[in-house]
Amino acid sequence: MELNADRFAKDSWLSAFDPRVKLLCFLSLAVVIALLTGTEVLLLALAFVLSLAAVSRVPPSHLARGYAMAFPFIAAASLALLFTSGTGNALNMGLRVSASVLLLLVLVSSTPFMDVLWALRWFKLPSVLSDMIMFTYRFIFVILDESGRMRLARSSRGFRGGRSLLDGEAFKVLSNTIGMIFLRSYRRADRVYLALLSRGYDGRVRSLGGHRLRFRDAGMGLAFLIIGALALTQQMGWYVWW
Amino acid sequence: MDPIVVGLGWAIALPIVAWAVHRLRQNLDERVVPFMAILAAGIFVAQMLNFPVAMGTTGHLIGATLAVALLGLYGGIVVMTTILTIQCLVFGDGGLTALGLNLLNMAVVAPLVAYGLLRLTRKGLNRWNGLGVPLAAWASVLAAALSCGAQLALSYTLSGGSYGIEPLLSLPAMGIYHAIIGIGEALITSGVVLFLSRVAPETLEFGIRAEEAKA
Repeated sequence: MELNADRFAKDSWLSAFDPRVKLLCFLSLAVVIALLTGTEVLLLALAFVLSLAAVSRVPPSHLARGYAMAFPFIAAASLALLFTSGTGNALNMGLRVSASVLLLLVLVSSTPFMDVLWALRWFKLPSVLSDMIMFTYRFIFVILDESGRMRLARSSRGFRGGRSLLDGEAFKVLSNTIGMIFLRSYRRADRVYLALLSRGYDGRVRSLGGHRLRFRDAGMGLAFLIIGALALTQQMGWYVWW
Repeated sequence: MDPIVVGLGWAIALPIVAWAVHRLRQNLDERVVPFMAILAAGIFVAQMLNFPVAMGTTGHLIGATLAVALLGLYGGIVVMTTILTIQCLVFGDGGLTALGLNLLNMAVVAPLVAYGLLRLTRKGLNRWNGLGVPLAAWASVLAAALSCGAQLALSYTLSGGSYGIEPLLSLPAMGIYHAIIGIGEALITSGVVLFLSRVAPETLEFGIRAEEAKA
């Protein structure tokens, strides 16, 4: 499974913007989208998100893969409404969830992870949480490597995965595998901690660099503000544009 | 989900997470964060391992009980919060508005239920009761699922059908399905705890000792 979320972040046109402005814009738009209930206005939001995806230069196949992973949930939510409260509501639900999932996908695949963290720290997220997120993100790839090697060893010994909850053998193997993942992580955590200490770690994370607000960030803020205001005022029935 | 329900979810989940962070900070030495992070990463990866349920369907671990058993209540809440935030922010999983409710279900309700049951069934100082772990794991999954079902039902009722799923459908569906999934969670969690207590008992004591230092 490919997990390196930073692959396209560096060459995206959107990565030139200040991560604080970007985070704020995208997250506010996500909130606005969650409030919309009209089909036309949801289509407008979806169109805006798709045009963001187009200018972001993130390969569409990458976004499509992320969307495909979320699709079963979108379909389930819409289908449940289709049978209980009509086609219109089901269609709107599908549009709304699609727009917000794609919006977040564009955000995360066009922003380097460290920039997101930097912005979160700037917004005064408690350091316990931001440091946890940073370390955990790094360790996930380490442990994935580890579990990949264990999977290889397991399947080369003929493990097949089992068929149901009654398959005691499969569960024994799986829980021992997870236990082993933890055990190796514990051991590795000791070494990681010593490595951190020898680099001067004292419980605080410091980073060089940062970002300055530029003119183009104001442009992005303005564009999101206009779209958000258009959608919200239409939603509240202040005017009809067709 | 109805916007009011989403707002409520954030309003309940955030203070509890903040409280857990605050309590954790009170006796935080610089070892704790990297240590918890490696466990969080371990649970994140463990969530990717599917276990068989029946007729070709699979389920996967939530890991709240495991986190609580290994790290105590506050650590468990913070670890689950980290995992859910990474799933949302890095892999775009679930969407931002859902994060508040995901936090409520899996980082607040599930660890609290797990902690309560582990606490109740504990015997002696450093031993988890054999029955307590699977019970806590099963109940935490069921509680999280019912809480999610209730949110869907409340959304449906509040919005008159624009959001959510009808109560008659959502509650039994979530409850029954996850009562079955929960068996898998119980089997794996107790398997992992048994395995660790056999090969590395010192790892299990970390959470208990951390809790007792606070109490």
